[in-house]
Amino acid sequence: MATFTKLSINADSALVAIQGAMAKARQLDFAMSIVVCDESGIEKMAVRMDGATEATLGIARDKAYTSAGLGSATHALWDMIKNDPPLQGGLPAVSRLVTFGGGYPILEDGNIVGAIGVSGGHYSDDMEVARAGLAAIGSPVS
Amino acid sequence: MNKPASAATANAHFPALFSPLAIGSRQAKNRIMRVATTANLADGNRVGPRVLAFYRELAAGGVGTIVTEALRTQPHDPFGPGALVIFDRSAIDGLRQIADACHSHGALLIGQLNMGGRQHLASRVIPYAVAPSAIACPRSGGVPHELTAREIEDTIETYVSCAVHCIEAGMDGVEIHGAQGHLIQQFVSPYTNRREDDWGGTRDKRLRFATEILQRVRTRIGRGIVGYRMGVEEFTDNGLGIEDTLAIAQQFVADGLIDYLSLSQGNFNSIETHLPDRHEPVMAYRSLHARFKQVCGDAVPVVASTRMPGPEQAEAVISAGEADMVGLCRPLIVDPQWPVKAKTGRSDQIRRCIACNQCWAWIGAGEPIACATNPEAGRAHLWPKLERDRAEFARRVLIVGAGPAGLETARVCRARGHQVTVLEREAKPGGRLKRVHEVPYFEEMKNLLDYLVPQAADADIRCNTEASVELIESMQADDIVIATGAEAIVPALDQDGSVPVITSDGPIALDALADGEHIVIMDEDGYYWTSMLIESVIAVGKKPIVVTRFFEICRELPMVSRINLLRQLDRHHGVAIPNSVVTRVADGQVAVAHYLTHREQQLDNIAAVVWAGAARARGELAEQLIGNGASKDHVHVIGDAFSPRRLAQALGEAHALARRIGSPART
Repeated sequence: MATFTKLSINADSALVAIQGAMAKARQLDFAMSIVVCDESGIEKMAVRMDGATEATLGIARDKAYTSAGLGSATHALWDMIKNDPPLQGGLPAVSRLVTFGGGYPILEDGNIVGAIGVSGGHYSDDMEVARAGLAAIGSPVS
Repeated sequence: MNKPASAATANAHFPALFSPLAIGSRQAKNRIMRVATTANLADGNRVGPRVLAFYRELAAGGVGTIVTEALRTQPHDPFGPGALVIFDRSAIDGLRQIADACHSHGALLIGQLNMGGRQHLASRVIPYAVAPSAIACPRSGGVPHELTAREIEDTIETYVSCAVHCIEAGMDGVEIHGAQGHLIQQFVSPYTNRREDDWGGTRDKRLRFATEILQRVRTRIGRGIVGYRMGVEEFTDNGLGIEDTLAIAQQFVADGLIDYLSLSQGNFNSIETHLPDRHEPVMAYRSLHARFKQVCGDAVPVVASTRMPGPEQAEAVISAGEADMVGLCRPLIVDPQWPVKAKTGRSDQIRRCIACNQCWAWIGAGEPIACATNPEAGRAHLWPKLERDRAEFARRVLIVGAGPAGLETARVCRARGHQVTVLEREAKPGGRLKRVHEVPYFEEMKNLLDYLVPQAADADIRCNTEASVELIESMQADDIVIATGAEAIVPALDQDGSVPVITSDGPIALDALADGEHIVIMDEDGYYWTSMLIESVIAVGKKPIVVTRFFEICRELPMVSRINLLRQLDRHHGVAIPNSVVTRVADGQVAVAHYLTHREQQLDNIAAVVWAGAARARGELAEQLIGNGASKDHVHVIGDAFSPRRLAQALGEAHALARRIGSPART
């Protein structure tokens, strides 16, 4: 039987990413939900900051899932679908896929090892907070 | 916004210039903005050591806000491997290094986004040209594709996604380039927009492209700065005038579309106004720019950029309330430490721009950025900062010749800890550039020697000293630098002396002239030496006839100076005769032959023939010293003494040599 090995973010790094993102959210004065998932889109760690609404947790989870599953920042999907009517209508209709900003894949040496999703502000705020999470663990923005 | 700094924190030298300022959500540490300038220093369109060192050098020099070069927004734009791209998400991580370098020195970094539309200077790639209307580019003649409504929508989204990439790369904001006749201004201006759909036909519809971009960028990038560079006046029939642009500025500010307004002027039909040369006064366009501060008030910072060589002029603009910030381009190419020198009371040590625009000529041709008078520009990756670059071994360096090459060698050798002696035959240092500032429009050439001479002053400079082989050998130097320049010559010519055939290193001497209305200038130079002589001829009231073997006169003169020179020539009844050479002078007539057919014409009423550019290198001392036993590794011939060329080569060779002497690993 043939198999292959995948790299997956560990819990310690997920925690560091979430702490980095939380610090940025506090600096910007937002209560947000932040989720880190593994390379397959399965939740690794999540936080709903004090005051963050229930909905934000689900959106953050779906942003992380989308980024891991499609290997793309969520907002970059918009650039992909905006001139393609079947995709523009169809992709967001697929369960759990998000096409606005706030989800980023987590990369190590070019491999997707997980993803981070953030929700709670305008998508431009969510993106800024997610990038702070990436920076905390040394992942490039891709 | 324009609050004076408190007495306790104000800078003692330029208090207004070095007071902080809010730009959108950010705080700039001073009022100096480096305006966008192409560098062509990327490696394969990615951030590498060259471009990173270039931006680090800028930030370390103390400028408060850095606007990047126009980041390339579309893969089909014509650009070479030195350009930085922003359309590609894989570029984001590299650009972050530039943002980090700027932030580590306390500077803001703003990404400039531009599309040329119909305008292109580059000729080596067939341009991709688009425009609101299919009207040819005034410089290339290329007819652009007229954008469809669908393509316009895509184009707006391209600006927006590129803006998001800038923010993702850690930049503090973006600048939307709506000036200088590029795509956005093409939509705004009735000169270039003849559409009758939703994107043209009325003023508001012509403005829609710009406002859609600004609104959508604002929405998508959140708190980042959204700046706008605007042309204040097109200087073109049916183009935008100052009243139009004042109203646009007011509207953008009232609608909250922009966080700062950066001012420029002209389009490719009036391209000489983008980057005025010495034919325009220092502070050209100042009064035009001041009107924008009047209408914008303190709502957003207004950035005035013009030919502004020193901090005195910048301080005057800010303290008079004519602008909130000054935009510098050339002053920071020639001296990135302009801000820190001004701030610390060392303004007299600033190397000031000579406004030759050679920098623009290089980058316009796709070459890396460089400067005619600053050999380190664009080469910051090659050497450590000079202040830290002590030589491993201190040498006794003897320099023969105190022209630009000799002085630059002396300056850098002294800074690196060598003992330096300079022997100069003439009474004053400066070489062949001693007198050019006496010619109209060449006054600021003085800036070069005004910098170099004091900077080299702690070397032992001995004027009125002819350097014989015996004298040099008796001085027992470790390294000998032959920087003796070249001698301007008149080639052997069949002539009877009825019309003087002369050379000149400055003003034309009237007593050297015969009777005659015209002076023939034989242009073997193709550059500033010929243009200096043309201005000299005009200054003595004669009409220039410029003859050259080449396809055109002054063929390598940077574009802005060429435009202004050709204007001067026409206004003073000058004539150009390309593809031709002066062959004979007889009986008061000058014979000029076509270079390709040898057909001859006779010119009369000629007061003189001035030969420009022919020269003989004077480097023979080196061979004599080596013949007498000096080590060829320690006798160096640089600049025109090696072969007659131009200022940039002389200074570049001098600087590179001075960085090697006493550092064996670099040779």
